[in-house]
Amino acid sequence: MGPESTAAGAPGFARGSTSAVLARGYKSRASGEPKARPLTTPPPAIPWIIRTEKILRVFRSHDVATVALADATFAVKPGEMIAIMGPSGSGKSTLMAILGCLDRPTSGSYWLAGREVTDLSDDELSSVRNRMVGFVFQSFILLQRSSALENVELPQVYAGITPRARREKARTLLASVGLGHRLGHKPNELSGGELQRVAIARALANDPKLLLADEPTGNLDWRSGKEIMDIFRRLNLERGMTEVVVTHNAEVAAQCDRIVVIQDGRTLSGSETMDE
Amino acid sequence: MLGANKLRTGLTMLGIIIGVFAVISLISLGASARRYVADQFAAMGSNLMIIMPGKRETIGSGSVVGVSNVHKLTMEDAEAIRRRLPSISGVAPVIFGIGLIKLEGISRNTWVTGTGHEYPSVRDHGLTTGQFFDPDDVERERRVAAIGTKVRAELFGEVNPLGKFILVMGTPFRVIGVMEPRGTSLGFDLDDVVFIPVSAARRLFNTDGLYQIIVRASSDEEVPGAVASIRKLIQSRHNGEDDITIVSQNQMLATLNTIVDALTFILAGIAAISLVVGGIGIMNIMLASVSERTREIGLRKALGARSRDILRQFLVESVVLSTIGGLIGVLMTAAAVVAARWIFPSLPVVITSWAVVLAVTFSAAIGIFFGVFPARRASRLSPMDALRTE
Repeated sequence: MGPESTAAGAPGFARGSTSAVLARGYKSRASGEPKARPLTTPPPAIPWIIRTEKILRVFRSHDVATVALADATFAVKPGEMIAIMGPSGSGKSTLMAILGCLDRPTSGSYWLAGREVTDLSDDELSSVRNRMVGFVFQSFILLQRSSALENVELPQVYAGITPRARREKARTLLASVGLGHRLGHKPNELSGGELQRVAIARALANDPKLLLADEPTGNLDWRSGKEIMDIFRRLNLERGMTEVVVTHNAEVAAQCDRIVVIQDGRTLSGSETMDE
Repeated sequence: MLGANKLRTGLTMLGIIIGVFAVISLISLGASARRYVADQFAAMGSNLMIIMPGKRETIGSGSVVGVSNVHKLTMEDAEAIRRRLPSISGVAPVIFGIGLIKLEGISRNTWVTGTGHEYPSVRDHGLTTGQFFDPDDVERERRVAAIGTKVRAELFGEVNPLGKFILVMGTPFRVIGVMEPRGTSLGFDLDDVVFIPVSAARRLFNTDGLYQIIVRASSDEEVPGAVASIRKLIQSRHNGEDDITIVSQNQMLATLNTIVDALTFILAGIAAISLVVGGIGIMNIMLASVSERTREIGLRKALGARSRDILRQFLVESVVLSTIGGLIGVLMTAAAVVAARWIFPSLPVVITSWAVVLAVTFSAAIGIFFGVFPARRASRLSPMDALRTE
């Protein structure tokens, strides 16, 4: 992939206006009730894309409480590419789920693009995931019976975009990750590296503010893994995409701007950027 | 997805297909039976009344209660009705039983019916050749007979039967007429009959009581009045005892319709149970599908699907499953009707259109009803937990 293919993919990577996305994506759950948090905590001065404060997540089952996250406090600037590293059981996955609005913290605050999201309703969180966040999973998770094109269209289906427009967008995105010749292929006809590239195209379908990747190279050989990381790097450098990569692969983490280490549910480093 | 496991989807649908097939075909069968009965009665004429000895609450072949104080219906009773009631256009006394008919070594067991000269006009049953016996034949107990077409064909073949003698239960009778073909009426073959004067039949069967008296009113409107006056007349002749049963054609039709309707609804109800069982099959398969596709549900939610999007997806799936099953059931019923018409041309088989609408609507409703529970379960999955499921 050279610069010319990137230029062709430009519409796909175009950054939408944040305020427009906010207007579409967020709806106040109970407009009549004043919200407590914005009054006690002033909005952050720096336009952090991610800012978390003292996030605690406790899972309860059968009277046994497990603390998955004890204190996760860190922040990510727009256009940053960070790695979250930590041993297994450290709370990485829980932090990912909360950052991706797939889960809510037990307590603490999370501002996504300047907006507190911890007390949004389920439907509002769906909308945030749909328009603000792009997910890339270790095991790809594509619809097995759908073509690459249909898989990339899926987030746009839930955004209510017309079939013609989303097909066009999906075509452009797949071309931009070098799969312009694989549009009609089903997942079982694609290699691991190709599957992850379809997943990246899918993550970009609704022009998200943030890419969340959970061990994106974990199921790939070294060469395919490098190709995937090159795509992430290129998206970050050329399009200014904010990216959070969870990994325990030092080689992957080394390609990121900064590493946030998490251990026993606490973020150990990386929070110093907040003091910049 | 429906296509992912074709065998499983097909078997699930089969439950609905069989249910819909059963409901439509049984309701249609009931309607066909109703129409068949109505046609049969219409052929006989709606102004007929049948008088039987003994008091019966309903029509049926139940035995006569208290034989001792029940007067027999006699030739004289029939004669009195004919002479004294102006609203009556014809009276046919009937004695009948099965008897052996013989002609030159060919023998056959046949219905032997003894009746009066007005029988052809009362039952609207004419002759193709020859004539029926006249009042004089009945009066003088002449041994003459009119035979049904089947008897004629069996005994005589191509030979002209008029003037020939046949042995009816050992007694020779001269054939004077051949009846028109009438076919089968309520299981009774009207062409396999030998008609003889009622007076001769009385001697042959050694009885002086009539089996029944068939009476035709001059019009439909006269029927209720005629029933009352016949009852009054016979009562006065039977020492004041009301010991007869009069059944009018309309009453019989109504009774038969009630029976047919009751049977139809019982059978359709049983068939509807099979539809419900089919619905449970759908619920089962949808639940299996939800647990197999937990990860897909998690993915869809991660990509922005709301709970109601997931709910709709699974609900649509179960409704599509049940409705397609319902439509296949309708097609199968249509095929069965074509086959039934081909195999039993005499039965007026029709598909009842409201039964089709009902069954298809019902199967779609079953899809919704039994799809809601699995679909809700799917829609309530937490996206994080669903994504972690292997």
